[in-house]
Amino acid sequence: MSKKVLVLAGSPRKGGNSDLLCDAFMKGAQEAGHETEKIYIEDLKIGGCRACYACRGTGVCFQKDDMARVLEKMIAADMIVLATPVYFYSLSGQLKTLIDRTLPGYTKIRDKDFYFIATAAAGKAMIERTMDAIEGFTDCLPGAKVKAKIYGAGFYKPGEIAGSSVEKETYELGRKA
Amino acid sequence: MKKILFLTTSPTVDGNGDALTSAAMKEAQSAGGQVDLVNIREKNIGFCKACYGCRETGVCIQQDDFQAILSLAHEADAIVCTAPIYYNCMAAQMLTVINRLCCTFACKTHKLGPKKKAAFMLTCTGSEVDEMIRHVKNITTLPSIARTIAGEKTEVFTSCVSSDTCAQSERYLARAREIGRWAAE
Repeated sequence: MSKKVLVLAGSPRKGGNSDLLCDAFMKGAQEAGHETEKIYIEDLKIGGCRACYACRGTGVCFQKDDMARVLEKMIAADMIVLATPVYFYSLSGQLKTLIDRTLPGYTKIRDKDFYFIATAAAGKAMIERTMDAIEGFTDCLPGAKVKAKIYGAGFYKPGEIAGSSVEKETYELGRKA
Repeated sequence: MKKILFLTTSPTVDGNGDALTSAAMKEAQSAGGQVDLVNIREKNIGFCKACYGCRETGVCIQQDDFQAILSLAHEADAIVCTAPIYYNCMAAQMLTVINRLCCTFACKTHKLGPKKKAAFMLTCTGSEVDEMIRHVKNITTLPSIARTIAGEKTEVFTSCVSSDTCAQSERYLARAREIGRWAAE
């Protein structure tokens, strides 16, 4: 059955390593007959959560920016890919800003399959810290299942992950998703 | 006299972060410290673009408020950060500032100033204390940051269910004062 796959790309570099893994996953998912969409967070206007809880009764943020649309897509998706470069052994401010802004509707992001992608010049053990930080988010979502964590370890130059074994594995994960 | 930079990343005016910062700052002042306060919510700080434009000069290509904060951080003997925890991780506002420290590893000639104490005061409702301390350590053990850290303390303030939880808790304010005193020593 065709599923909706939403890819949230948290790198500022289009064509960078985490972005190429997003593409590989999407290619596999498309071949498996799924409907895919990638959102470059960097292209959007998303303000930081103000923790004002104005959304508590309404489920709607007072900030009129691109986040309402993203949140709707997250709620509608069957599978969500969260991709980030490793910055300071954590995630990008871009992706975290989006995550924080799910507050008005995070309880409706229900029963999703999640895939994490993180890439770094560092090794897998260091990337584990980033995976940990992302999982802090999915731990708060009802029925979330983390299906796979994809480690793009040891890649420094933009785009050098192209043709690597991890790129192939990511494509396979997309195909089997 | 020790120079202490207080960096608050909570979006809430007079909320938990502000109560803790204010208590720690007063204590640091009375212990003889010279304090600076930066409220990130009043600043314009862009996301790191990972362009490595800072590689040669140590200066970011983005003309925003970050460079002035970095100068204060360089001069400081201690930096005390306050951040709320959202989804078991420091708020995006804090991570965005940390991401912008790219120059500390990209630029080999970058000067970091005196070795510094670093303190984090994190506010949350129900996150695990040990896990949050580990998250901070994950970041501060990055070699480019670790080389300038002389000492580190992280305090996690749990059960902050309302914006005045910390202001109402003498126990929490005492812990914040302890951080302020430590920073000024």
